[in-house]
Amino acid sequence: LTGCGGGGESGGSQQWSLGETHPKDYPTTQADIWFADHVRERTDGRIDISVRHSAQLGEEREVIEQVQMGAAQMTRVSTAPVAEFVPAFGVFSMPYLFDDEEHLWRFLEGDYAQGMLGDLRESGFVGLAYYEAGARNFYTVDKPITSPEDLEGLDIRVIEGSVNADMVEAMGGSPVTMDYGEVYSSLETGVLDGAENNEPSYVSSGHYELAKHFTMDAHQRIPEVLMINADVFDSLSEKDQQLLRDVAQESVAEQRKLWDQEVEESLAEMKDAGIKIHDVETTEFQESVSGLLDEARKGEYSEVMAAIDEVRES
Amino acid sequence: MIGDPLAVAILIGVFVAALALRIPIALGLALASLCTALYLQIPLPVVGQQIVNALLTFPLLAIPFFVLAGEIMGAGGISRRLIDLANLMIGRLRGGMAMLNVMASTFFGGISGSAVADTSSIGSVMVPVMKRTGYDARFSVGVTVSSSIQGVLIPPSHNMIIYSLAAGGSVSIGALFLAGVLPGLLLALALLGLTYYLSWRRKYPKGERVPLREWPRVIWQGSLGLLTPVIIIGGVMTGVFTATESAAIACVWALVVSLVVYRELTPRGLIGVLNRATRTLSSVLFLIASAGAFGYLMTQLRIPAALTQSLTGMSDNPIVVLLLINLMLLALGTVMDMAPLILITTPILLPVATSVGMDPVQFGVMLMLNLGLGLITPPVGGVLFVGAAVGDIRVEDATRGVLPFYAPMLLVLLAITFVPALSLWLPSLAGL
Amino acid sequence: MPPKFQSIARGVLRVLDRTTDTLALTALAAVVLVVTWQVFGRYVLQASPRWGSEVALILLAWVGYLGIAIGLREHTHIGVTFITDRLPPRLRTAVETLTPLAFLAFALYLVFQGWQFTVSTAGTSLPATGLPSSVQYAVMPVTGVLVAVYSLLQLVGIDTRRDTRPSGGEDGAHDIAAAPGSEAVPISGDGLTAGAARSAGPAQTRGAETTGAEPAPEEDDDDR
Ligand code: NA
Ligand code: NA
Repeated sequence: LTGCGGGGESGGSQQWSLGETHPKDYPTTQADIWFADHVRERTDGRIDISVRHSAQLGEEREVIEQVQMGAAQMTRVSTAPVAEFVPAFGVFSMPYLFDDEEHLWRFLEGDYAQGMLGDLRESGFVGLAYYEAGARNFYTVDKPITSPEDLEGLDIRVIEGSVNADMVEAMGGSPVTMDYGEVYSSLETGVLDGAENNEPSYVSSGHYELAKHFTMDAHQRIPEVLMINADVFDSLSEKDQQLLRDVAQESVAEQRKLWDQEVEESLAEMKDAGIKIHDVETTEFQESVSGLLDEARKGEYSEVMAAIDEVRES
Repeated sequence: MIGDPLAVAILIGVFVAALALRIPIALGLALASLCTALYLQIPLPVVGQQIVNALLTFPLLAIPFFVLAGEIMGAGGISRRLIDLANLMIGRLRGGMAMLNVMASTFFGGISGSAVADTSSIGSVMVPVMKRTGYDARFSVGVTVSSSIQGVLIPPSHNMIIYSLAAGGSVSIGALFLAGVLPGLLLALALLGLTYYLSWRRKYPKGERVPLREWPRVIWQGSLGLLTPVIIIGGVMTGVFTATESAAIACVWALVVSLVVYRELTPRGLIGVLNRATRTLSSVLFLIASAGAFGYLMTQLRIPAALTQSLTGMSDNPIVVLLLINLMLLALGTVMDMAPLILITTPILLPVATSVGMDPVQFGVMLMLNLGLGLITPPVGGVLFVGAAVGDIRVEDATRGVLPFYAPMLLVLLAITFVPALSLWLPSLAGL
Repeated sequence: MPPKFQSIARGVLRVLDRTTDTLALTALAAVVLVVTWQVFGRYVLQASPRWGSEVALILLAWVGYLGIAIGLREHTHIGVTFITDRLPPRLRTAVETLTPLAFLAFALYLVFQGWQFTVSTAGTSLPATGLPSSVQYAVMPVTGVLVAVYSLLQLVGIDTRRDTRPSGGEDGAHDIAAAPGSEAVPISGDGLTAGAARSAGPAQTRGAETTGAEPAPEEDDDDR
């Protein structure tokens, strides 16, 4: 049988698995591999991380559980499922939380967001870095969406989680939670009128073949996080711990560069495929969900949203 | 730990040992996974997590729904009326009763998708009648079990849903359903042809005439059952519901017809239906669940990739590769059941098939018929056993009865393997 | 075993059987209703319930897991018998006790690890319903206990099957003996299709039985 590594363990060398749901050529996976390669190089092979891409270890929530139990050592996941373990991370799913990518990253690089990575320890993780996952946008089969009114009566697939459904409902649409594997055929047959995602996933899922209207409304910017089992992390020397943190932070620049490239390429591909890209004024969309944000500001996310607002004003 | 030969030996060895010791396949898969995880120092809860999570898959819901629909049809009188309708259509030909058996299975296959349900439901009615009217028991059982294999080809088919899952959800269930139609009908024709020939040679009797005044009732009542596939496929194609939801609708439809139109199903009868569905599901779902854990460990050990590599290394010739795949599946099918084999072999063989240019949808149809054949092949053939039971004969005699039917089935298998259009034409018409 | 103890044990078991069956049947029926409600909601109410798919999956996990125990009890789990069938009878009997033993080992795993899993996931919540994730995993220890009970009973030689009673059993468990065709459908009708459904039985299917245990002795017909 072929396989990398195997058998002999030599002088304190460690073999880790990093769970990744995206396929190998996806920019985020490439960044995972960049991270793994640099860690291997700079520890002279003492820490050998194997990136298990394409959901080999399971879907994101499963892999998070595995990292928690120590079955896998690391993973790259969206902050959305992380919220099921550490509720504070649910804030990132709020619509129009950030004005733009710049606002998002000024917040993520600031003390508050870096402190949130530390909060992961309560659930047995150490967060090493945030990754970019772009902005989520609506796409529809027949009816173009240029204002929230256009969503009226449309069945839009959203990812599970009450915020996502609340958001589409507040805008006037009918949210449908559906298994991701059924979305393609549902767009095809008309069970769904539309769905929402970032540009690279819209293209890689093939949904662009069916839903020809893409609305650049950027309703959510849900970042991702690279994390490690806390016990594994604590067992390392302080020098190695720092090295992991450093390489992870360095990989962020690489990941964002790859991500931006991928978005460009996706947009070019969308234009080639004759997709109607609707550049919209987002004010109306923002107003339609302002109630949701106000509620969150008063409730469980008051502190973190104050920090986000503070970054906006500075 | 990756690719560790000892771990691979533990995983495969424990499983095979469990099989040999008559431990249920599903339990064998779970125990092999646990032992391997123990050796690899993978935390044991992960095995449990994989077992539970294998069930937490929405498209999987179609399985309980179709099984339940099949049970409702049997208890609610739909199966019986389908037989009456088939009788009206071809009962007067020589060997009419035998051909009616094939036709009834074609209809039934369009609703339940389960060969076991077909054999137990159609067979338990038809075989005794055939025996009484002058057919020998072996032949009756042979016709029954071989024609029931249509159920896995003609949509809907829960085994196709299992395949779509095993292929990682990348194969459209709608396309698979449509792809099965022509091969299923071709199989029906081939079986009808052979049945007619054998009936003529052996001078089997003609069926009874249905009085003309009975015709409207028989046609009306039979078509209500036949509407089920129309509703399922029509509903999916027009976007009223998803393939998974269609299975729930099939249950509701069968229930409405049985309770309101035929009025054959009582509330107590309904509990019996649910009870039997649970019995059937108990074995299928446990298999899927523990195959999830087994598959997880196989992936951990990179077994599928290694096997795929060695298979593709054997030949570049598509014809040779596809024949090899078929032989391998036929061999496995003789000793193992359909659902676990779909789950275990798809990740290994699908990449091989696509590497020689086969469409995943076509591969799915080929896999269905191939493993379907395994259901009627000794030493382990679930449908064959049920057939022997309903025919009240020994498994050896049932096997002898099936023997002539292998020929048309293997011919259809070859046609599916080497004529892509047979599977892909209908889905392409529908734009899938 | 003293007769008094036997009858108490039977009573307890009947309750256990019935509870397991009722739970599984209810979950199965509920899944159909939930998914139908989803379709209905989308078309008629213009809003499908958000909890729909999550609840359906939890129920499916329960049906599947309880099915492990029910399948053990009723011998519906598929096994390979053609090797053991060639063994001399005494050796075969010995090998047949391995299945309940293996189930017992699996039951211990389900009870202990499943319980740990249930506890460790109690703090996390499912996205749509907000229920703790342990509602999915709690089925592991529950099933584990049931599997332990049934496998122990089989180890001491008690036939656990409920479906061995003749047709017409009162609470819906009326059906054919547990041959592999235990899903055989009884069809009663007239003319062409007159009562033929009862022929399925384990007697002729040597080499075909599912997980083991000899066919039920006659005296078990009343209630176990
Ligand atoms: Na079918
Ligand atoms: Na048949």
